[in-house]
Amino acid sequence: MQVSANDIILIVITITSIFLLAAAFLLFYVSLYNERKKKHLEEKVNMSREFEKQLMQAQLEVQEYTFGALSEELHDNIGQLLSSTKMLLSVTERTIPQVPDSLKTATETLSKAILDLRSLSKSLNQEWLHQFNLIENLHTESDRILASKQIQVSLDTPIQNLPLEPQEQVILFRVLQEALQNSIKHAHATEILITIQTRDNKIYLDLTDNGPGFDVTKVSRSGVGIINMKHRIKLLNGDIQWQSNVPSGTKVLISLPFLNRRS
Amino acid sequence: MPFPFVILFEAACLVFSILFLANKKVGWWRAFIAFLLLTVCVETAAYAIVVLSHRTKSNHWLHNLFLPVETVFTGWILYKISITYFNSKPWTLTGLAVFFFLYFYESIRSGFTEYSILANSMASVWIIIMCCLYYYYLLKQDEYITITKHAAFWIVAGCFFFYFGTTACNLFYIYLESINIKQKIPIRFFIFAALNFIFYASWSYAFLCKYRQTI
Repeated sequence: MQVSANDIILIVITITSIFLLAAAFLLFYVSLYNERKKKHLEEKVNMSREFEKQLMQAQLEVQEYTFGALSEELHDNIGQLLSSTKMLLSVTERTIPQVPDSLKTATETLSKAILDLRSLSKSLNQEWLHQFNLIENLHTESDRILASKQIQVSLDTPIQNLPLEPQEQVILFRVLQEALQNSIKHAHATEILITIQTRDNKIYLDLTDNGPGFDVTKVSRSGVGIINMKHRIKLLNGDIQWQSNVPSGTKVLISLPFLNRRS
Repeated sequence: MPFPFVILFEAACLVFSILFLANKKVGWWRAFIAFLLLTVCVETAAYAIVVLSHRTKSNHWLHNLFLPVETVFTGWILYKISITYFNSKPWTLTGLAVFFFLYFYESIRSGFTEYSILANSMASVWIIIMCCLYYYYLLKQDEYITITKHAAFWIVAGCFFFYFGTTACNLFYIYLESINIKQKIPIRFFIFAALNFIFYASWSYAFLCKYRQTI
């Protein structure tokens, strides 16, 4: 059977068109599969983040529970023992006509220890933290540090109540406590300034000290305290950064969104 | 002979390659400039031979000379692109070995005056296999790519469309040549023009993607 030229042309055009369609379909399939893979990987990352978040939440709950138990123990046991000791010292003072200076100093030191212990017990108590806001907690904390008369802590904020859940305020408070401890213990700062303000649906908390500063790149990788602070702020979907210009002090910059945070 | 639009597409692609691949950061991708320059020269010379001789002389010998360059370059490009996904060396070497065997066989048999259609068809099949392997291993890997920004993907897409699309023309080469000579219907020429447009458009877009990566 003789095949005409038109038939050959038609066959070639048809086969070419089918092959081009097949090639286009294959590329479309590759593209579609790639998109699915992208979605799958994104879901995996989200699940991993969620798991990390839940783990962190659990760790914090355990930590708060431990703090609570420690607070109770300090208040109910050691606090009582110190109060009894103070009472005994007072009784002894009354029985001695000439009270020696050493005994007076001991009584004063004991009174200070009892006050410090109560203050510490309060700051560790979770229930107490839930009763009022972070700003008030910070005032109390700064008063506690000021009582040492060696460090000047100032709190500068125009707001009285942060738009955060109590539990979130506890997390933020622990971060600020850690930052304060770092300024006092490691930086040996004598002046600390905490500023809090809200702007563009965000909360900005800055803690500035006059310590000697440190190498941020080295410490941020290895410091357990700093890693914990980062994790906690991440849990609140916020951001934490350190600015340290040796030897002119350190600035801790925290920013948190407070609208649509849960989404 | 109608005006070969292919030269225009190739020239446009050459301009894109010079514009986007001139930066040293693109590495081996700069080889495209040399290859496209050579391609434009060969196509222009092939057209000139036919026009100047008033269709009395064939340009098959020139296309036969260029065929190994084209095949080796395309194979090398596919090897460079796919080596990150799988061991493409055996595939490349085997393909080239078979191609050169057929190429020399045809050249000796026909004395270089007839187009090496068998070697060309074999090269097409080999390139299609390489493209399919690339897509297979691309899907197999865990990481995903952003297709619209992935230069290598568009190079392979251009090759795949062109060589897969020319399969029918290669299979019916003798018939189409006969139709072209006897009835003056250059159907193969038009199909190749359309496929070359897709091919060089894909490559030009790939060059743009590569350029965006370097800035």
